[in-house]
Amino acid sequence: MNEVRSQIKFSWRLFIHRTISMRMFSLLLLLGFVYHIFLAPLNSFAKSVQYPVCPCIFPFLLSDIYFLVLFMAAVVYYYSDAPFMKSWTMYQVVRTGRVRWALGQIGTIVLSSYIFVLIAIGMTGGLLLPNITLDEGWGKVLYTLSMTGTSDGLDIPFGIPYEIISQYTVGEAVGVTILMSGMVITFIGLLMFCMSLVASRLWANVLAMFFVILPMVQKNIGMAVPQLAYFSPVSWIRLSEFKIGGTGTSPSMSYCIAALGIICILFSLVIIWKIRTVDFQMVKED
Amino acid sequence: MGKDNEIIRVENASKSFNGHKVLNNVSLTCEAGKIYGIVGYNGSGKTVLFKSICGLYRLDEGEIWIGDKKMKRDMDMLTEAGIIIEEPSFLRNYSGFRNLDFLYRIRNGKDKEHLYDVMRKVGLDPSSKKRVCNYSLGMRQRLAIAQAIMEDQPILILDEPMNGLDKRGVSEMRQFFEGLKSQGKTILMASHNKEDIDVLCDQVYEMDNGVLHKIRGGEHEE
Repeated sequence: MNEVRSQIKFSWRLFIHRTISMRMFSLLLLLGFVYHIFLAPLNSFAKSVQYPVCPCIFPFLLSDIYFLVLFMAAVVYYYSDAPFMKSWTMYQVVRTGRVRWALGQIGTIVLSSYIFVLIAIGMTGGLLLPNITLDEGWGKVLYTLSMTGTSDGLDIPFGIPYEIISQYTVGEAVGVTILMSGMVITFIGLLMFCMSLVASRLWANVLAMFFVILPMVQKNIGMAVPQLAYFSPVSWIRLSEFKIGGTGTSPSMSYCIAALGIICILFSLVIIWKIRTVDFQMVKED
Repeated sequence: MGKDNEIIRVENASKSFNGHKVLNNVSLTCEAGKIYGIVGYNGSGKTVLFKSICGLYRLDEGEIWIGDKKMKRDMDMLTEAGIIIEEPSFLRNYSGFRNLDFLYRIRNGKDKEHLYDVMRKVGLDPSSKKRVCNYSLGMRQRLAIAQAIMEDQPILILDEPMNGLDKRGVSEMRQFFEGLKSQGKTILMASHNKEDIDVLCDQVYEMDNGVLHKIRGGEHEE
């Protein structure tokens, strides 16, 4: 029991260090800039019609393929230092041992994935201030935009899919987005950690970017190859694509959760197997 | 295994990187309560040997025993050692104390007083809020020594522990290492400074192109 508690504490402290870091700071700065581009027109529209907007815009942003790719590319940047063997980690590894150190990194990936999603959701609300309301569900602005499809005319660079508004309450949409985004970001983090141990950092980045770009490919050839939807985990973040219960061409939520869970467990097992034999080549890098 | 007081035994260790043999059939035995010195040019293989003993590198051939435990089979890392390998590297934006606290609490509870004592022992001000990125090389070296000794481990593996220290610092550390030896600790150190090796070490080896030769001390002195 003490071992488990000590492992959780170690992961927690690694996570705190990783969260309060220049890497996270630069990532949030970049994200803030992208948010500004995407949200400023919506903010202006809300001001001009004098109706506050529901702050839970994040699920709609992720439904935009270009935002999704930018967001996930930022995630790849965040984990691009995998396998996290920096010169200062040497003193940690000799205290923890190889496996415990790797478990600590896996725990940190899971925790930081979810905290990253929560920060990203919080930032959308923050950038829409003070024109926000939590009282009216999706609110008149989002209803109007989704029903009339007038986003383009107002220069709002992302759509407000009616499927999301009709299928989910605000709480459900945010809850499912947190769950799926956290799992998909964890998938990318573990994939990169695993690949950097098995092959190299370069291959880890290339493979992660392949999965990030896959939704774009799916958008273009998805009609011809509908099965692609089942092999593109990053697409599963998009509430507009993914259907509760599933349809003929879209994977169901239970398929997505089971597939991500199994893949993440497999990656973790490969990491723990591989970490026992690799040479710890520490790099001087912050 | 060999004698009871043998604490480290390296048997026929070989290691290559990209086809270049960095350790070539190296054997070494260290007994408790002695200081072992390894001298050699840069790139001769000292650091690779130290990293292999610590478990950071895996050997291509040969075995490493720590007491009666075999590296890789019975242990995946030498966790019962204090180490300094290569240039001391810490979390740059943390103070010296926070760095030590971070590492100490991996295996222990919080113990501020103990860490304060250790920092004072190596000549650092524990209450200083100065971040490590603003430390001089000498201060970072002292901090590295502090992290190596703070858990009172029976083995110390020290790669150039006197790097960056001024004359007074070197003298203080020599006395300090002598004190650790008298407590029964085993110290394996590499140094470019012949005087450090001459003054401190019971046995001295030279690493040359991955081959280890004994040059002083022990039963078969050459």
